[in-house]
Amino acid sequence: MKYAGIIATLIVALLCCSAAALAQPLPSGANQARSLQAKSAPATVEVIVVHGTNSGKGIDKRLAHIKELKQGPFVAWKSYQQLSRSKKPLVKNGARFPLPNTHTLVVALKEKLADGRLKIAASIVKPGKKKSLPLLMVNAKPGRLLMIAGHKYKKGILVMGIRVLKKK
Amino acid sequence: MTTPSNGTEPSAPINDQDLELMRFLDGELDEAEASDFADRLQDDEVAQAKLAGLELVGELLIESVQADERADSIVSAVMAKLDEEQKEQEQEQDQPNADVVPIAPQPNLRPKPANDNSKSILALVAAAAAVAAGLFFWGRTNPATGVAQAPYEPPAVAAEMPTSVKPAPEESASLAAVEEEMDQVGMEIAAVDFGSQQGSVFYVGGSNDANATTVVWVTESGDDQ
Repeated sequence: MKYAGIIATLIVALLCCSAAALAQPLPSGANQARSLQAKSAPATVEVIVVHGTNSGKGIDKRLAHIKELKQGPFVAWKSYQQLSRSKKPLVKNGARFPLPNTHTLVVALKEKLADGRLKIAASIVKPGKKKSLPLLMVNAKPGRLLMIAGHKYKKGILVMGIRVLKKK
Repeated sequence: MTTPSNGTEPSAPINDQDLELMRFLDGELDEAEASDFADRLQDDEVAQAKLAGLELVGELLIESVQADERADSIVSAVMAKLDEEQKEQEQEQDQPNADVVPIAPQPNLRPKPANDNSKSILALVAAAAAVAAGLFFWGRTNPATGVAQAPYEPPAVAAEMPTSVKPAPEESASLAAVEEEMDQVGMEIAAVDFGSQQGSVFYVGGSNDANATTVVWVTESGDDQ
């Protein structure tokens, strides 16, 4: 009887935890929710990951339309190879794009602006939840390119191109 | 002849007759000496009186000794009783119950302080943990859909950036013109936080602001290669 109160309280705590765990959605429910969010997303976000080196291979043909790679500080590297290119719905929970250096680029929709632009938040997350780029808030015009560069990778740099594409 | 002693005067010396009287009284004379002494005692009234006095003193001494012995016996009895009770107490402490041998551990005999609130504190901590767990899981659950939410929340903005990092417009330009120019920027940096690293924002290409491409450059340390 000494510890009856304590035991009763712990039992209540366990019951709360159990009820909360039961309240968690099943995997199928989570997938359905993501599907609904993707359908309701006002735009998609395209991310191109490029590796810049001085290996002498030149610029990947798939990157020929990105003329910025031949301008400004990008001229320090002569060769650019496309590592990946993917599109994901731009949702508030954030679209995640794995990077080859084990980091993850997260692009999330913040709000729709009155002038048709979209306010997006981008960040680069390291393993262990540390962030190499904690926050980048951008008012993005659909179709325009935003470049994030400078992360070192295999004797070169990584260049990420982010483009918001409105749904037709 | 002897004179009675009152304790303050020196006692008279004991003569041979007195010694013989005491030996007779104590039974230390043999039969012949005792018979001879008894014959002489019948004719000597002084010796008879001394003998009677010695007998009286002897009786008193015996009574006194017996009284002392009784007193000693009483004290001895009391002490013996006390010793007996003490032994019984010691035996009871060693074996509180000879018939029943408890297997369960004895309760903690240490006295608890008057302000011992450990039970109350433990109960409060447990209650707080229960409430915290409930709130934690409840807060993660969307009440409308029942879907656990893990929204992406960027950290607080460390430094609000200007609407553009382009060089400031000429002082003659009106504010309206500047705002119109900024509206034409395709990718307007609203805020940036480089964390513990350094970085810069600039524009590349394009004949005007509207066509320039925004570049965010992170100067990363060498351990991420």
